[in-house]
Amino acid sequence: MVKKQIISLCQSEKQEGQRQLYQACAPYVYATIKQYVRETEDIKDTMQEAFANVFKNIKSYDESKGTFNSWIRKIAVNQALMLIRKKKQFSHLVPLDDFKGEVIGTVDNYEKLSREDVDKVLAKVPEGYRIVFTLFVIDGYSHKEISKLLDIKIETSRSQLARAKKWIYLHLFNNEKSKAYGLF
Amino acid sequence: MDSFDKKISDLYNAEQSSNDLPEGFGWDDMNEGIYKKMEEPKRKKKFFWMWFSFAGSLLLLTTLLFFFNFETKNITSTPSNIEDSKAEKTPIHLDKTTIENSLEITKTISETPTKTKERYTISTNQNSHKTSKENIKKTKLAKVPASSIQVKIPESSTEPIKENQQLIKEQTVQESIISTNKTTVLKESLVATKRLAFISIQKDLIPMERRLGPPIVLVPSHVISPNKTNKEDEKLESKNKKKLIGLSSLQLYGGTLLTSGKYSQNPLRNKHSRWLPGYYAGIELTVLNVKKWNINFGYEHKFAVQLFDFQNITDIIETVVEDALVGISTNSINGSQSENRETISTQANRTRNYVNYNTFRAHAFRMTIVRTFNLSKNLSFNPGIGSSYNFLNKANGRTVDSDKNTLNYNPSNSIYRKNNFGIEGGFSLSYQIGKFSLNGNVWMEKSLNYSLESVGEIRPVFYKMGLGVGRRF
Repeated sequence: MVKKQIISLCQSEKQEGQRQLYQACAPYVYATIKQYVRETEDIKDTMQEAFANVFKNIKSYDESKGTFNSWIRKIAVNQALMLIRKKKQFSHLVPLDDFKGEVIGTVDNYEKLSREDVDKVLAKVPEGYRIVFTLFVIDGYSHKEISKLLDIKIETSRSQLARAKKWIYLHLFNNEKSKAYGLF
Repeated sequence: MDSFDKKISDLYNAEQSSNDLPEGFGWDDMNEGIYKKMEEPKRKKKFFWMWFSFAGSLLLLTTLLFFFNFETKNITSTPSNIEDSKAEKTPIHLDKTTIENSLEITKTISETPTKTKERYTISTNQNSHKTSKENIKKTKLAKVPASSIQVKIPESSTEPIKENQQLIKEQTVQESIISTNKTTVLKESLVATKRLAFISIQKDLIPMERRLGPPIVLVPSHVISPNKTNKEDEKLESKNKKKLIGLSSLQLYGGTLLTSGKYSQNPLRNKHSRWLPGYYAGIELTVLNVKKWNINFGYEHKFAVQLFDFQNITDIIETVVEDALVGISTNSINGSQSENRETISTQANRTRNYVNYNTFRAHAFRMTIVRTFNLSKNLSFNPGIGSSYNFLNKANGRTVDSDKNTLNYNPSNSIYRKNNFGIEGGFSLSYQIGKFSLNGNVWMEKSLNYSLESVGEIRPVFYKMGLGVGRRF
């Protein structure tokens, strides 16, 4: 949790407050952005954009509407999506894998999943799938919100998520039962 | 959200806060970039507002000029008035005999309380005065500054004039003046003759005691333009005015559009892409027409298609393989085996086999300055320059693979810059057919790198080359 004192300092545009806020939130923002953006330079650029927006708009932060972490996370996600829209326009045009890839994960039951297992698989998921999956599953956006964020139809968001899950199941689990789970 | 989703959500949301920052992401490494990005939009917004301020100022100026012009037109359109400038260019020279024969001085007395002045004019001879009473013929009067009319009279001839002035004053002042409202006009019947001429006497010809105030005189318009009737005068005057300043002419136009534009982030795409011809169409308002210079504001729509033709295009892409097996060690004695795994970077061949069509649509506000050179009655040459603000640039993509499968993609994923400023210039050869014009265009619009957006997508360059058509209202 970010201390109110730090937020107040930032609201009065004190550089020391901005430094403290960065140090408190940067790991969280980094982790958020990393879920969407892969290249280190892009992550750096997006982080800078995100914090620039945070510092500029911190006066409009309303505590009653949610925690500071969720507010800053929303900014980070929006910034990451903006970069994706600008840089990866053709990713969705690349024909998608037809599930011929090798199994990356070693688990046979999703109850035993670790963060590392999921990270490995997510790093390989085609981008269009990954973004919808991350927005829906990890960041908790609804299909309606995703459709607005990505300017796609709600049905498209749903189908992308379903495909993403199939892909992840097939690549994550090493037994047929778990794989089959994802196909339904 | 099912149990699998929940599991992943918990995994991520529980561990996110504990992540450490990698090297190069500390405050000292990042703060400079953050502050720079905080300043960036301000500069861009400044430019944006500068552009609109400039366009707005120009619009305001033209609006003011419009009203100024409108007022002037109202005044000048009063029958029998003639432009001062025109009168200045038409001095009347009378010799002594003419003046002696035809001199009549009428005194005009203004009833305006604050402007009680005596004014003098030289009128026609007394005979014609009588004639005018019989043939009541309306003659329109015009105001001209006295300084514009020169009467050449030798010094010696001033005495008869003075006498004549006195005589006429006594005889005609009472009946020759009609004062209406707050201005004074001459009774038309008194001044209407074939040779009617009201002209002012130069100041040195008028007795000192009567030289009061600036002499404004009333002169029949046909004295100034003896060969023109009053209606003709008005037409000519109106025509001249139109030539000088014209306003608010509307034009619909359109034509063929050629486009170029490269995708800076992927050279291969540039190599295998080409633009197909499109069209532009717009409406523009000529807000100011000074002599042959037109200042236009307008809206324009552009449409073009960019084709990415990937027929068996193979390139090499970088890829990272985690936990790649790079070595195996076996122990032949106990049969054990160990693997050596590393994350390696490798290259892969990628073959693409599809065609992608992007339809590009743009909207723009434009401001142009165009000069017209009339080459013949119907043919004109129109060079010009301008600037534009393009907005809502949007692309719709459709990919067709070798098996004729199609994939439509999201228009918001545009590869084109959504908003940008542009500068433009060129010329057109225009052939007028009634209110329509057939144009041959060579016009180019270059998008500026400067934009409210920060990353450089394709900034198309538009070439309005080929045929165009316009309709002016």
